[in-house]
This record gives sequence, C-alpha cells and structure tokens, in this order.
Amino acid sequence: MSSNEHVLGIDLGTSYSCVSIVKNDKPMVIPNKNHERIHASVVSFIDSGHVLVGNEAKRRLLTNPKHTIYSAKRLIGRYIFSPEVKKAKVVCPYEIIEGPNHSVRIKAMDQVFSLPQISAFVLKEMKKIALAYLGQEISKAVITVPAYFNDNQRQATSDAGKIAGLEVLRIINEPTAAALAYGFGKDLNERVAVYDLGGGTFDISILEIGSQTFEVISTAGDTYLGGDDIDMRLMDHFADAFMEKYNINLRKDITTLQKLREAAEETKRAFSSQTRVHVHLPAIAQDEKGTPYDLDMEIDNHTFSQLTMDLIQRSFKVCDEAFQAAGMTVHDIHGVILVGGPTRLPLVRDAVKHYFGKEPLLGIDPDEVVSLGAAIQGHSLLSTQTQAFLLDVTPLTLRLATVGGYTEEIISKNTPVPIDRTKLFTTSRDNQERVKIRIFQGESNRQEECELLGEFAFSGFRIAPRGDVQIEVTFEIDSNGILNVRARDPETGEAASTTVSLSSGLSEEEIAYTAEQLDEVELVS
Amino acid sequence: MDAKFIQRVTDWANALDRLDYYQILRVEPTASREEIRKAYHAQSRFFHPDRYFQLPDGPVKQGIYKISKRITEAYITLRDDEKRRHYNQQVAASQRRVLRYTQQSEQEQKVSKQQEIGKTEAGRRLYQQGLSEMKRNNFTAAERSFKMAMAYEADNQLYKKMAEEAAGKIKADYSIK
Repeated sequence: MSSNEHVLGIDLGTSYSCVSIVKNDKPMVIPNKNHERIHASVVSFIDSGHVLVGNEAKRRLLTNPKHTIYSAKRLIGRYIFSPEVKKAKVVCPYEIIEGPNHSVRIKAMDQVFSLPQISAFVLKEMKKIALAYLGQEISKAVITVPAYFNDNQRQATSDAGKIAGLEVLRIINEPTAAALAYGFGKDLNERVAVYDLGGGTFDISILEIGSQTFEVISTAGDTYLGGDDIDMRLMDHFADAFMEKYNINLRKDITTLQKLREAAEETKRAFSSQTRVHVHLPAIAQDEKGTPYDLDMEIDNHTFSQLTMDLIQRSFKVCDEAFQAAGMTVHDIHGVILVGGPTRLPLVRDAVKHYFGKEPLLGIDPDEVVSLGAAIQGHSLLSTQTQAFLLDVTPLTLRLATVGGYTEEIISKNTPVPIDRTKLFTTSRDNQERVKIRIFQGESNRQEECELLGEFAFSGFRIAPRGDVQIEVTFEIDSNGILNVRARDPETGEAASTTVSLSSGLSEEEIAYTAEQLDEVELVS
Repeated sequence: MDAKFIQRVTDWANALDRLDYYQILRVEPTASREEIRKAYHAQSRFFHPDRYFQLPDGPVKQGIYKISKRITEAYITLRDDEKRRHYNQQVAASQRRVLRYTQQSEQEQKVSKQQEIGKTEAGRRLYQQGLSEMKRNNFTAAERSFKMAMAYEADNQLYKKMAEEAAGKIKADYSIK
C-alpha cells in the first residue's frame, strides 16, 4: 500500500455521521474545521444551487424546516407504502412524495431528490472534511449500515456512495465494525455482544473474536427503534402537558414542532449526566388574544424512565432472538460493547447491565467506534498484510416466490457470507414459456408479509407439461452482503441473472446522471 | 503473489467438486464442532476474499471467491448436527458421487417421504386407510386394508408390519359384540 493511499471509514448514521482514516497504522477520527468529530446527517437546501450539510444545516431546522432534510436513513431503500414512510410523512416538515415504482422522493427548493441523492450530500461532506484535514482528495471508502438493513437498503446506500463520487470498497455492518475497532490488533479470544442503539435503528450482534477473525454468530435488529423514538416520546410529553395546562395544541405549527423536537433532543442528552432536567421554551405559543405562553417544566429521571422504558425493553426482546439463534445465553458472553449516542444514557446502560449481568466494556466511544472500524477495514483491504477478517452473516431470510402467494426459503437468516445456494424448481402450468423469478426477504412464508427485493423473467427453457422442466435458481450473497440471483435450465444451459435491485432503485445510468446533477449543487460551509 | 500460490489456488478451485466438506475444511470426519469452527476460521484466514482484494479481476480472484463460498457452505452444513448427519448419509448413499449438501425443496421432501411409505399410489392410499381404521379400533378392516396394500407391493415391509400389528390387536381383543 502506498503510504499516501487512504480509505475513508464512514459511519453514515440516522442522526449523525462520522469519518475516520488509518494514519500511521492508527485509526483516527477526522474532525472538521470547527473541531467537530461527529456531524449531523442533515441536508439543508439554501437555494437551487447551494446546500448546507452537517451541524450548521441542523441549526436551520428551525428557520428552514421545509427544505431541511433529516433522518433520511429512515427512508432509504423503502417503499412509499412502508409504515416508516407513512409515519415520516406525518411528522416530517419536508415534502415526501412518491417516485416511480413506489419509490420515495423528497422535494426541496422545487427539485426532486431520491434518498440516495440526499445521503450522497452527507457523504460528500465527509469527503470534504477529509480533504480539508489531509489536503488530499480521497475517493475510496468503506461505508457502514445497520446489520439488520435489508438488501434494498444496502443497495441504496451503495448507490449513495457512487453518487457522491466514492469508490465503495465495502458495505459493512455497524456492529461488526464496532467489534473490529474494539478487537483489532489485540489478539483476543472472546465472545462479545454489540448492543447498537443508534438514532433510528437497533442492532444486536454476537461475535466470536479469534486470532485475526471476527465471526458473527448471529445478528438481530429492529429498523424502527432508535434515539429518535425517545425524542418523540419527550415531544409528546411536552405537547400533552402544554395541552393540559393551557389547552393549546403545539403540534399544529411546523416551527413549534421543530422547537419541541430540539428541546426533546437536548433533554434526552441532558439525562446522560443529570437526573433532573429543566425545559424552558419561552413564548412558544399564544392564545387567540395573543397572550404568549412559555413551556416551562421539569422532568425527573423517574418520568423519563416511564416514558421510554418500553422502547428499551423492546431492544431486549431482539437480544433474546439473537441469543436464541446463536444457541447461547448471556452467560456465554465475555463483554458487551455499547454503540450509538443513546447508550450514553444511564437508563440504557443500567438496563443493559441488568440484562447481560455485567458492566459494559469501558473506553469505547459509542459515537466514533463504528467509523473507526470502517477505516480499519478499508485499510486492511488495501494492505498486503491484512490482519483482520470479517466473517459476517446475512440478517434476513432470502426467499423465492412460489405459486399461491407463498415463498420458499433459499438462504436462511444468520447464514455466513459469502455463500451461494441452489435449488431446483419447476413450471406450474402446462406448456409454460416463461417463469417470473420474484425475490423476497423476510421471516414469513407468505409473500405479503415479506419485502419484495426484485424480480425478473426467465425463458428459453424447454416447453413441456407442468412439472417436467427443471429450473435451477441460485442465490448468491457477495462479500458486501448484496444478493445476486441466477436462473438456469440445466438441460438447455439457458441462463438469466441479475443483481437484485429494488424495482424502484436506480440503474447505473441514473446513478451516473444523478451524480452529475449533484455536482452542480455546491456544498457550502 | 507467487506462482506457487497461484498454482495452489487453481488446484483447489478445480478440485472443489471432488472434495467433500471435511476435505474442504481439512478436518477428520470425526472432528468435533469446535474443531470444525477452528478449521473454518483457519481456512477463512487463508482464502478470505478481503485478503486478495487488490488482485486484479480474473481467474485467480474468481477461484478464491469460489473456494471461500464453498468453505462457508461446508461450515454451515457440518456445524449443524442434523445437517451433518444428512450430509454423511447422502455422501455414503451416493457412493461419493454427491459431495455437496442439497437441502431438498419442501415439495421434494414431501414426495420422498411418500416414497418411503410405498412405491404405488394405490398401496399408499390403502395404507393410509388402514392407519385411520386402526385409530378407530376397527382392526379387522385395518388388517384387510394393509393386506390389500401388500397385494400391490408384496415386499413392502411397512405394510407387512402393520398387517401383523392389526392381526395381533384382533387376537388381543376380548370385547363381546
């Protein structure tokens, strides 16, 4: 590896992102010129030609709510009809619209953006921070995603990287990256659990760290659970209390809602070091006579715990799942790594300590560890003396649609990757000329309960009575956790294949086009 | 990347379909689960695609990728006792012609279960009829059904066993009519 060749390790978070590199064989976080080490994953459109990204952009949530996009990661790779998108449409002040093939688009400053484009702005900002710090442009990157992200979400993240002009060497899982940062170069031989409660998602991974190997035994997650949900509970609490006291609805006005959201986040953070938080928002609303009223209240630890305990408890149900899949119990674990801002909360730490029966490992920064791990992985890939090998798993079962609305399992969840599995299928009607290969991901054998990943038609096999033709279908998950599917007739040798991509996803041409389009928009600082 | 290494990878990749999972992981057929896991780690350290990330795309890189996928396949089969047992049976029954574990589709499994019962459809139908008559304690009718099933498949041991069982029940039945 030439000494000046670097790879960015980027933790593209729901709320915050972080960028690292390995310098002189040590991983380090790259700060921006304001010495900030983590950056809000917020994109604020100033006008059609200029966009602001990061902590500065976050400050514009109040002044420019309609054109300031936050929590885009909650929407990336999802369909317009998914529950998360429906929820976002209610609570987000920016405009969420439907794109082609049930995809999600965002409208800001009269321009329409795909979610990968929005995330690309954040990635570009990370690239810019690295350029400012190192004085050289770095275009290679390893980007992390929640372990429980499905194929659509991984693809969309990878597309975001390409749009941002990055060569994405790998997409790796956040908890795995955290374990790598923890165990790298230590020659450990232990089992760890990574409890990763981020801004929008929760992951738990159980790993066996051996000499140079990081084997994920099982992983489980909830892509609808994160620090954002804690904020929402606090917002509701504020709004309800205000309603009760003054009979004024704070939820009607976008700017007021943003003020509440900001106060909620600050309150949550304050609980990391305080047991009682005073919230004061002067003149947040007025009655019909124009008399202003303040939101002025105190929340103690007990109330905070009551408001959020069920969310925390939900994470442990997911942990149970991971342990069951691993065939282990909490007693088999040597250490617990905490990842994600919300794990700074004593409430969360105590609950984790109680569940695992031990103190979480110390000395790991929950906001930075994932990005450091990504940088280590990137460095390893370019090094001839690689010392760390990730043996990760696929988080969700991959299935093929069969007749009658059913699916059949091809690769089960928690199967290590890379892997390929082949199964034989046949036609369901006499003289059938083509079959539709439809690919699903999920834990039910019913199609409607799984997520559609993609589909393609396959023809060219022998025309014959039903059941007489063999169609060989191969699912392959590559080292990035991304799925490729092939169909083949073993008799004629006729074959068709595809890298499965969301039917509403972006084609290579679209990516190239949108990358150009994005280049016309300047990042300001 | 020396010539010796390239030769090794090429040899392995070409030999894959002739190796059973124990040979792929380089363990004894009697290896414990822990030994299998260790072997998986050791083989992965050598053949992990990340290790050869910088190799130009080509047959060597493809070979490594193919090997690493097969290592994973061997591991997930042998670490699971049930799958390992099935695999061992499959390899033995095919006289080492089938060396990859193929999980039969649910449909095929259903068919093979049926075929375990009997070769003819009429025989299987009569057998099922006999079973339900047994459940209703109608042992005379059950014996008749099993014997009729044997008329279709004279050498079916399952039908024979059930016919005998029904006959035994008749003898042990002292109830009056």
